[in-house]
Amino acid sequence: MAFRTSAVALNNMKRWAYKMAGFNKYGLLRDDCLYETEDVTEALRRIPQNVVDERNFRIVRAIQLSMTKNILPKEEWTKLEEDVLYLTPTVEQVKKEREERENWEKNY
Amino acid sequence: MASKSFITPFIRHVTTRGYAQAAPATKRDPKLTSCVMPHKTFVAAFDNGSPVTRVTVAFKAGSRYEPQSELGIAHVIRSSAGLSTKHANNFIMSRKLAQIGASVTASGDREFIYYTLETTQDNMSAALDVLSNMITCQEYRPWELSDNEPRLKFEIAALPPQVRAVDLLHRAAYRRNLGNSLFISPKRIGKISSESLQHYTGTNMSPSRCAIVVVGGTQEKANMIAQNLTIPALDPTPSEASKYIGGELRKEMGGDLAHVAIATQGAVAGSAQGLALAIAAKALGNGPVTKWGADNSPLAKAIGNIGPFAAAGFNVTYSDNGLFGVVLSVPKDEANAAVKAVAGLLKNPKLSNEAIQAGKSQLKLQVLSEADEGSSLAESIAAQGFYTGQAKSPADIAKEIDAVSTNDIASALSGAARNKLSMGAAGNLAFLPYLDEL
Repeated sequence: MAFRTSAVALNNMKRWAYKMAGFNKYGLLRDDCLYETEDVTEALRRIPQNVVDERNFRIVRAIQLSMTKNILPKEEWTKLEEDVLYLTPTVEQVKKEREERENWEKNY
Repeated sequence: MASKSFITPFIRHVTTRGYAQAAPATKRDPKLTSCVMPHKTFVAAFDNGSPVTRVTVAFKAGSRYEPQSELGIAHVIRSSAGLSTKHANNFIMSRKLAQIGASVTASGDREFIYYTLETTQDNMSAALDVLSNMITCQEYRPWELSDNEPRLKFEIAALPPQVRAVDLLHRAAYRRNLGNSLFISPKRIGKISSESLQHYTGTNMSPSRCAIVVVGGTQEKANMIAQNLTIPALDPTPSEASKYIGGELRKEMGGDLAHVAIATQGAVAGSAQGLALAIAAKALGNGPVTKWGADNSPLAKAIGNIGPFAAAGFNVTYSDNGLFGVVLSVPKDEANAAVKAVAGLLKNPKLSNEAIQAGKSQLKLQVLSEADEGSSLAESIAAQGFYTGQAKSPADIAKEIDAVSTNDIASALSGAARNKLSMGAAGNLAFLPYLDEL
């Protein structure tokens, strides 16, 4: 019972934090807000082109909205359930490869 | 002072003795053994006592098996050997090999693709892990394939025009299958997808289309490698038989020289005629023997004194076909005379006994010296296994060359001369005659 309550509480907190971050009002996804480090740039190269195009569209739209001091109408805000991590798994993969490389250079 | 002069020679004596004895002192006769595994993989071992072991894993997956819609796929496969696999990425594989001083190369011809590993005996098992991983678990990740494109472009740009001429000759002679180019066309670079590479390796690289050869190791070791290499078994794909059609293809590339390859249909690999024609090709000539010397080969005599040129007889044999002819490079203005002379020689070949004798010796030298270079020996044994189901040692091949009689060569030559000529040409073709004008 305690586990269930804590899970529900955690979920609620996640939802609250997601709303508070505010990027969903611009129609962005979590992975659109990653800092473009070298790992992220490499990951962007590896995912399908249509996914990158969609990402670019969302980012351009968000910049446009921000410049005009606007936000999307409420029904177009992204919801936590719809926010798919399209880039994070690839970034993790790239990071692992980089760490493997760095470890090898350190040890040999 | 006295003590010093005493010590030095003594130590030197001991060390030189020591090093001399460290070298393998036992002289073993190199022994070639072969067998066919239950899943139809051809396995051979040439135990020559070398401290370096060469392992070749070859597949019937050369350019002749390319579908017409995916030409150049074999070239992409050979050049993407070593890219990331399911279990390790390309960085780790190359560093692991470098760490133990091993190297893996992928090469290919029209029939086969060879993956050859070179390593010292003691690092064998670690290197084999990488090799089998490289062969069986390749993933062909799209971004790595696109990173590899500049290399393909360079390989094509670096092709000598003579190679282009021979490539065009094959296309003219066979049109499809054996006529497929060894190299990807520049326009198709980047167009071959990861999926089609997977499909091609999936259909062509199966145990029944595989040969494993170990040079510098025992048969038991070779069998063990064959058992450990897990290649998914597939239904055998029917392969199209090649048909000699004949024709000509020309590629105008400018420059001062015309590079021409002319040939008639030759013999099948592993046949007696094939060997006879190989001797005849050497006997036709291979350029001057001494530097700046006169070219006294029958080919040079037929062409005559037209200024500087290079001409060599050539003979290639495949599982169901072959080509026998001449490759030559001549200044553009002399192309007409030279090509006509060569075509005349191919239509009506006459070789003196002395020329044939020289041809035999040169072919033996080539066979035996290639055998000294372990990797090419491993690859040629694998090819023999595919062609004939058995393998012969270089010494045996040299004996067979000796046993070929002048009559055999004459009859093989006249047999080849009855076939239609084919021609492939690249370079400045302003004065090059067409095939029907020869």
